[in-house]
Amino acid sequence: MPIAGQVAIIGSASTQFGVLHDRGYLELLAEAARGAIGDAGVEQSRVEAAWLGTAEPGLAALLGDAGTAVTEAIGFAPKPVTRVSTFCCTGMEAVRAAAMAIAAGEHEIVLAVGAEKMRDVNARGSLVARTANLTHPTLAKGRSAPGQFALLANRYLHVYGHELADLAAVAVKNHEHAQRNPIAHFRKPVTAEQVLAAPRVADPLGVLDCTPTTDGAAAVILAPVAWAERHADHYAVIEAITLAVVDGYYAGFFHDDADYLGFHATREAAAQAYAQAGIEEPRGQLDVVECHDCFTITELVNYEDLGLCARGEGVSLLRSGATTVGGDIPVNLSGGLQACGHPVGATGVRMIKEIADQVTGRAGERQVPNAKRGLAHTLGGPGAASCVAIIAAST
Amino acid sequence: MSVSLLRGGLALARDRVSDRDGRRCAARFDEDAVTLAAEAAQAAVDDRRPSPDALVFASASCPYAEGGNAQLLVELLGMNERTLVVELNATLRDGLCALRLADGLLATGFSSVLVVASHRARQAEPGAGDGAVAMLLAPDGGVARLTPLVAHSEELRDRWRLNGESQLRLADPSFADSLGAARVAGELAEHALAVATRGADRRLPRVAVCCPTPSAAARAERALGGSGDSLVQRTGVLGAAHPLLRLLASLDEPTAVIAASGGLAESLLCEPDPTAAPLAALARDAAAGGRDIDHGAVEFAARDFHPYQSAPRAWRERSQELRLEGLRFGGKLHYPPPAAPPPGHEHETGERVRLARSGTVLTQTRDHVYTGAELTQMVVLDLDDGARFYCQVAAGEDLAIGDRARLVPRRLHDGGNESGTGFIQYFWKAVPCQ
Repeated sequence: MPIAGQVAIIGSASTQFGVLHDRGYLELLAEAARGAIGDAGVEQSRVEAAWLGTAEPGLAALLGDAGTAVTEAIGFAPKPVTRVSTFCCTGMEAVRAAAMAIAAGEHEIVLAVGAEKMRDVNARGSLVARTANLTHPTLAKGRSAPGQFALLANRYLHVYGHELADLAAVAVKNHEHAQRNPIAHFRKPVTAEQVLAAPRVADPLGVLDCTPTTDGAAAVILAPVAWAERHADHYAVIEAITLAVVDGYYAGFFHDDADYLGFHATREAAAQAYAQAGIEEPRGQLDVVECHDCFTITELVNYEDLGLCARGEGVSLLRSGATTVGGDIPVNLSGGLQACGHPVGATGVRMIKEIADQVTGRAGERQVPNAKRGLAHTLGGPGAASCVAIIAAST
Repeated sequence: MSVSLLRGGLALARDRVSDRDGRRCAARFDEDAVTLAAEAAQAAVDDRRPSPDALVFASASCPYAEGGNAQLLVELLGMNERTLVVELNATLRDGLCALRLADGLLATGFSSVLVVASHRARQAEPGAGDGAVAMLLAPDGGVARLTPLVAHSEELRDRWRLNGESQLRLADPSFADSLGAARVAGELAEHALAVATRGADRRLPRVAVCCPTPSAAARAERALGGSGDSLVQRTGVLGAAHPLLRLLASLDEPTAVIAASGGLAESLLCEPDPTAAPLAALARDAAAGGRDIDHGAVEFAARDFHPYQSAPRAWRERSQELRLEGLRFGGKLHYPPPAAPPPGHEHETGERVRLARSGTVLTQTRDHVYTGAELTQMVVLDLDDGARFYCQVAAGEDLAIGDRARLVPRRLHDGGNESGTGFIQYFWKAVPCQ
């Protein structure tokens, strides 16, 4: 049976996101997993298999290098646990893999959990050091995560004639949204002036254009929709969940089909998801979006790549207020990666949880009135892979 | 015997610093004797001719004390792997020795020889500058004839470095002044000029003397009727490359070039055609050019930077990273070369192609966090052959979207100690087209 419309999210949980010196990787994983199991209202013994998303186990003494971490954290033996890793798509890919197991009929109730412990080392010793030291010794040597996206930012501003303030507006919006999200890493508003005056990271991006380096974990419990109809107190339906992988880790920057104004992977994953979900006009058929705003520029190009507006119209969409709370297509009401932070393996799962909460009316202060269908999107690789999920209320 | 100079090339470090010893070429942290040599040689080789049969590399400041340096030049220049490479690594005199060696090789039947001399000054090397000069030589057909004259060898040390040491040791200045290179150059010149004027119609040539200490060279040269080294005040002493720089700059009239360092000396007669004058002007203009900067901008130290390395990988991928070669399938150039032929070309091996060395900046960023100590500018280039390239901008340079840029070989890093390898990783960086 296909995933589309047949797999339900029956429980979810997330830890606090932040610099969590008092909790280790396994504790975070356990808190999220057990929280999701509890939210689903099932006994742990009913959960038959698990998928773990952790992207950078090297930052946490190789914890999360294999699915065994789930077994160790919550006492899951002898059930199967599989670790997946697809750069920043890791968490959502864990959910996709778990959903496939449900759709295939192999399992009835499964766990997908994403966890990342990034701040057992200092911020510079985290992804920046990993990228500088462990990647290919010549190809793309000199890039950092912000530097990768800054290439787009400069090209985007150059081609469309926009200004730094247009990038800053993304950070202002998402930090404003995060005030209503109790798990966000940062919950204070920022002004455009603060964003523009922040120390530079990779021109034109400053510190407040970037997602922070964050610890956290999130989990969801999946089951067949038919099971959920009979047993679940609440559930959302996965109408689509896709992964598009369009390139490799190093080579993408050298390929002449990239215009540095957006990401082919997102466009591909979105097209597949819209086809699965029967969506023809995304802006009109979606009520809420969580997208991968690792850097301010990314959210702008995501608008375009996800089809919320035409290419080159991202800034206009932002300026219109449509993507702000109260707008007709609010984006990143959670605060996004900008304010929640980006514990890589956890992020995609957190997004799925956020949209599931929205369409089940459980999003608290962030609730979009009468939200029926939402989209979650991650981008990884950088730009080599993208996941898109369409999640809807039960009918 | 004599050889013919076909082409010449220079790579003087663009930055110039001035101190009590004068103005000198000062390389950035990503330049060394190999990168300077490669850049000079790029200008000297002729892509329309077969790859030179031999490469003679002279430098007393080679990055590798053991294990060879010249093979890097073969790769960076895209030369034939059958090339004979020879290194001379003792003193400034070796620039002229390299020409003598080329003369010998051409006499045994080699069709062309590339000579490259370079220098990357150490700290506390007074008066020294950074640069390289390359010459493509053949038995005949060039713009000047170069004839080795006489050589000299005696045990006299006015500067030396023991194995494993990084800094030079200098003899007592009074000893060096009275009995060192200036005396040796003067004594050698008498014999050299006698050989140079042997024959009925030969006039006494102009004399150019090179020594590690500019004042010694000037004293010796003036004693021989020369006017002194006007270049050294603009470049510093370029080690083994300096005699070749003076040779190039003297291509407007016959010149005997004398190079002496300690008790070692060499001499050579250069007899140019009138067609060589533009090359002389190029050398003089290059010496006079450059960009004046403060001392503080030259050096760089990366922080928390221990990049992965693998000697097998470096060997396996030398074509893509040193020769900068891609693979063409069905008219499309792929870089880096794909691990397997792309779909639709599964049964083809592809055509190996050198990437263009110039292009236009599509986008860029200045990264403040990459290694922590200084900005690292990254650019995406659309190369002139249609390939896409992503690389660092060379230290001290700056590029904007739409700028024209060219690719030059540079040091990327020395690798991590943790891997136990720690060899120098060379790659290509972008600089503005001048």
